[in-house]
Amino acid sequence: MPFADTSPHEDYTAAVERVAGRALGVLMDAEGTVVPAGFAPADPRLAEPHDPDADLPGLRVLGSDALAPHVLRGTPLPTDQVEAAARAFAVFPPDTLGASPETAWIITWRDWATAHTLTRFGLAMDVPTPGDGAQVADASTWQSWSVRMAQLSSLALPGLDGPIHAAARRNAESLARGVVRAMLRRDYRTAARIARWLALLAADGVAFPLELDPLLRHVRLFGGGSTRTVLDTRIAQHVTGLEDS
Amino acid sequence: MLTQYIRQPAAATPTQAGTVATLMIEEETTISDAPLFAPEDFGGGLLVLGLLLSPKPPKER
Repeated sequence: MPFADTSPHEDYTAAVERVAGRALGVLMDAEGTVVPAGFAPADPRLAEPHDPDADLPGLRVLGSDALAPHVLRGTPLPTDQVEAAARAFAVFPPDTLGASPETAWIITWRDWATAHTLTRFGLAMDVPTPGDGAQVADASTWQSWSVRMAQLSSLALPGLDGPIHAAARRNAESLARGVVRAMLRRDYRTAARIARWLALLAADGVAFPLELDPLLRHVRLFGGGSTRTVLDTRIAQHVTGLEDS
Repeated sequence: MLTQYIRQPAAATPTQAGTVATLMIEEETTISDAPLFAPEDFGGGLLVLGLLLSPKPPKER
């Protein structure tokens, strides 16, 4: 239920944090016990909402990230969550999100990842077909390229493969540079997202000149209390098999 | 394929859809300078005010 004195951005950010917190609970096998860091229970927007549709923006924003814990742990997705994911797509159809032409392709790819992940749980979604990934083919300007890859981080999951993943494999060094740049800028949100790609590459045996474990730990400790960021670091740790750290 | 009834809620407004798109495509944060005390030029005015309020020097007769 939207609050009268909050903007849609605040309400939707809270929804994203709630959904990320639940996904984190599934991933850490402690469902229902995760207290979203930073937002503390004092924030009433993080309490369980009465409106069943209040979490739909969070599900739509997180997409395959909300489903990743079930993929990584091999647990079935509850039927109500499958239904909620379908309703999130019904409320926010891909063609109405109003992204600019420069960024619309990113949403198309993220929707592809979500739809592809949902098919594992028995739900077929009709989403636009993404292009050939030409936007990330050239990584010579690695600063902006790595930011684009950060925006595509929800594709960095085992079982997904395509031209974006091929570009990541070809440019592991650019990803490593990008994550170091983000760390130096203290942009931990971007660092966590790029680290998702590096984790996938590490799982695939691709070498890069960076030690991922201390980086993920640092981002988790200093990442500013965003549950979404913590979820990214934990997903990266599970993908690489470093989840005990 | 699941066979289930899916409730169809109302579609989002353009503002809501735009907000979702913004949260999906998070841009990197902008770099700012070191935090400064906002009215840092207040000191100049304070000096002038002190000069105006200070007692005048005694005149020689």
